[in-house]
Amino acid sequence: MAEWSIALPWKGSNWVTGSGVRIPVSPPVFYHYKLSVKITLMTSKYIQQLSNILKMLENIDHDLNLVGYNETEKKIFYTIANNIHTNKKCNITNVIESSGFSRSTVYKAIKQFEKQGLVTLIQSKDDKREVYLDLVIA
Amino acid sequence: MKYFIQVTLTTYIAALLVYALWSYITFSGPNQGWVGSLVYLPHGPRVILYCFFGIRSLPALFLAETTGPALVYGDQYPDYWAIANISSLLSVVLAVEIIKWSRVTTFNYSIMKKINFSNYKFLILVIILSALFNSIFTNLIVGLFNSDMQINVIVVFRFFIGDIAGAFIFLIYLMIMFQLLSKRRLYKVFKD
Repeated sequence: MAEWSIALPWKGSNWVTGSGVRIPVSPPVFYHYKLSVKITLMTSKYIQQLSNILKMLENIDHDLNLVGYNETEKKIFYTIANNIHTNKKCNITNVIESSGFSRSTVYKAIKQFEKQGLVTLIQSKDDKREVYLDLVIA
Repeated sequence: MKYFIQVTLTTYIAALLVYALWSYITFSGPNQGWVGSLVYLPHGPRVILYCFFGIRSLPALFLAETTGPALVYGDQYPDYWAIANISSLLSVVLAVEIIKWSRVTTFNYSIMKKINFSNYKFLILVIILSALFNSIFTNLIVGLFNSDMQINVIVVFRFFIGDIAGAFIFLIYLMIMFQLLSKRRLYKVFKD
């Protein structure tokens, strides 16, 4: 006689309503197979070797200093050019606002552009504190 | 197997394309072949493809180096050139193994271990060493089979310089292509 009044008479039996516990179904095998094939394709040795060739070319590029400007500097330069084209004038604050980069990053990039002779800084006649940027057309 | 097929197709197409370009430039001029050997472009893909794809690229490289001249020369293509092709491929293999053995890349020498050629300095070493071996071995083989051919130090030196110059020009070409690709990618980023 079981101590618990609602206990089942034997282990093999079940309630009429069934157990509340739901065992989740096993994950679909096909999905995993497809995923693994995809990953294998993506990380195949062939692609790895091709990317190694590109890496080698990138290293040569970097060492020969053929790529003088990084993506941030290029974006800042593009912003300056765009501002000058649309507003006819551009100051440093405009560049900071439009590009979304920090003041120091923008200053550093502009300094480099000035050094390379890509950009000139022109002091405003009305307000001596304000400096406008202009592109140097070779 | 899939990797082997991918490597074979890439290697064969790349090597044959470069050979076709080189032969077009060389044989369209009046000094057939002589000037061309001063800038032997096919040495570039030979070294780069072997360095990156390893031993699996050798059959395709051999096929490309055999079918290329066979298409240009037709019936006049001498059979012993196939042996010369093998020697030029083996000179690249030898150069890579010597660099491995010299332990400038890794401290433990193993024939199975690969060098990381992303460091292009090793690649340049392979280009120079393989050009040296290729100029010596290939001329020796050609001289052995064809006694009419004049093989001397100047010819060997010409082959040596030609292989190095050709490989470097091929590398510069690849770099220009790489620049174009990266610029295209940047253009897309800006547009977005």
